[in-house]
Amino acid sequence: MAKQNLSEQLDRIVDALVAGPPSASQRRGTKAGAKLQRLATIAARLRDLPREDFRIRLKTDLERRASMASKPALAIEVRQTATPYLCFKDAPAAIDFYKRAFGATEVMRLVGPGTKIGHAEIRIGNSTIYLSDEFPEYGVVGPQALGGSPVRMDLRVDDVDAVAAIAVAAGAKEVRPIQDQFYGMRTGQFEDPFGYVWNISTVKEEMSGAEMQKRFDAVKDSFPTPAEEKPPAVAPIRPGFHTITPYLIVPGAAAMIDFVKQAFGAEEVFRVNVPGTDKIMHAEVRIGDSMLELADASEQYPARPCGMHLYVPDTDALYERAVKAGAKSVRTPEDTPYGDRSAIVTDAFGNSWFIATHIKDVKF
Amino acid sequence: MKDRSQDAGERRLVEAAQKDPSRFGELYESNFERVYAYIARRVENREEAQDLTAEVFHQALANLARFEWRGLPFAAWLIRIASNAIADSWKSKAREQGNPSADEPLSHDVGADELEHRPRLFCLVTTLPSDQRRVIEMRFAQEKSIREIGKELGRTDGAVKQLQFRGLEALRAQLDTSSRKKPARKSASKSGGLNG
Repeated sequence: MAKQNLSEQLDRIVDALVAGPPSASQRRGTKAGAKLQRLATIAARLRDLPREDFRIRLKTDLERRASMASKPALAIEVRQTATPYLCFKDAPAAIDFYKRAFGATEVMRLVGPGTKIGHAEIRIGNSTIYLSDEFPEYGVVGPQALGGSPVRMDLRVDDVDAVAAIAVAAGAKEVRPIQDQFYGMRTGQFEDPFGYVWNISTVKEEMSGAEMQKRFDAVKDSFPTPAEEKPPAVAPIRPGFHTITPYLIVPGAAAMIDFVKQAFGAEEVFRVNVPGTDKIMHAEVRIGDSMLELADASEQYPARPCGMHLYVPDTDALYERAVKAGAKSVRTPEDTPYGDRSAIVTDAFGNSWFIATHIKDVKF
Repeated sequence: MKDRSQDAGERRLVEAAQKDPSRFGELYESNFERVYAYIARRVENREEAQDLTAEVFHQALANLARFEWRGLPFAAWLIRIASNAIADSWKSKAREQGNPSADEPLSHDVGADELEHRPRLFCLVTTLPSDQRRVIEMRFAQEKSIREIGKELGRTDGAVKQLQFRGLEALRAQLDTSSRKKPARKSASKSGGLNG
C-alpha cells in the first residue's frame, strides 16, 4: 500500500516533469521524501531520453551514407525500388525472430490501427523488408492463414552453415538440408516460424547463365520430372471407344469415309495420311455410340472385306439412306424370327452391313 | 581519465572507420547517448535535438578522414561539432527573429553529468526488464500518459505506475552500483575545454 502511494506520488512528479522543466520546488524536493527525491532526479534526467526508433533510424541512415562513401565511383545508391512486403499473424514476434535469426535491424514501426503493427521496416544486410500484422478486413493475411506462401525469400550470406545454425536455434525449421548446388552455391532451405521459406546461400563460384544451363543439363536426370511434365492420369480405353473396335482396311479409305458419312451419318474424328501420299494411314469415325477405324490397304495390311452389324432406331430409313449413298441392296428390311427388323447392304469395297432394329424379345 | 586500453580500443575503432566507413556504426553506437544528451540539454525540443544529433553524426562521418588522434577522446571531437551545430542553429534562429547580434543564452559548460552520468543512465534503460523498459521509454522518450501506456500494454493505470516506479528504482540501484564500482571520471571536468 505504501509502495502504491509512493508510485502515485512519483507519477505526479513525473507528470509535471514531462509537461515542462522541473520547477524550483521539484528541484529542491521540499514535499517529496528523500527516496522520492532521488527517483525524481533520475526522472528529470530521463526527460531527455532519446527515442529508440530515432537512434535506429539514424544508424541506418549513417550506414547507407557510409556504404555510399565506400564506393563513390560505382553507383549512387538509391532507395530500394522493389521491396517485399510480408504479412504476419504476429509481426512483433516476426521482427524479433529476424533480429535473432538473420541479424535484422528495425528501421521503424508504425503501431495502429489498435495495437497491431500497421507498417514496419527492417533491414537485413543491405536489403529492406516491409512488414505488417494481419488485417483480414483488407485482405491482408499471412502464410499461416493461407496455409503457406508461394513466395520464397532468398538470403545470400558469407557462411550459410553458420547463419542456418543460428536461424534454426532461433526457431526456423529445415526444409531442405544445406548442399553444394550445381549453380555454384551452397544452399539450404528453411521455414521460419511464420510460414515463410528462406533459401539461404553462400556463393561458392560465380558463373554465367549459359554455364549454369550447361551444368544443369549435365545433372538434370537426377531431378524428378516436374509434375506438369508427367502424363496426366488417363483411363485405359479412350473416350468413345469400347474394348473392340472394327478396323476396316480398304483400297480407298477416303472414299470409304465419304460413304459411311453419307450412308450411316458417320462423323470423322481423326485422319492422318501416309507421309508424302494421299493414302490414309489411320482414320477414326464415329457412328452412333461406336467408333470405326479405317486405313488404306498396303502390302503389309492388304484389303480384307468384312461384315458390320449396326443396331439403329429405324432400319428402313437407314437402309434407304445407305442405298441412296451407293450401297448395294442384298436384302430389303424385314422382320426376322429372332426379334429384329433387319436389312443387308454391301458397299463398293465388298464389306457387308447388317442393319437392324430390335423390335421384340424372343425366347429360344 | 580513460585508461590506456580504452584509448587504444577507441583509436583502433576510429582508424578502422577511417579506412572503411562502414565501420562508423561502432563509433556511433558508443557515442550516440553522449552526443544526444549534450544536445538535448541545450535545445528547446526533441525534434531539434534529433535534427542536430543527426547533423553531428553526418558531419562526423563526412569529415572522419580529417580527424587526427591527439589523445583526446573521440567524443570530444563530436561534442565540438555538436557545440558548433547548436551555435549555428541558434544564430540562424536569431537572424530569423531579426536579432542577429544576440548572444547565445545557453551555457556550453560540459560537466560530468552530461558526458558520463546522463549517457550512462540512457544506456542503463536498455538493460531493464522488458516491461519496465517499455514503460520508461514510452513515458519519457515517447512522452505518453499513464493512460495511453496502459491502453497500449493492456495494463491498469496502477500497474503502469508500479512499473514506472520499479524501473526508476532499478535505475537508481544500478547507478549506485556502477558509481561505487567506477568513480566518476575526472576527464569530464577537463572536457569543459572542448568548446574552445
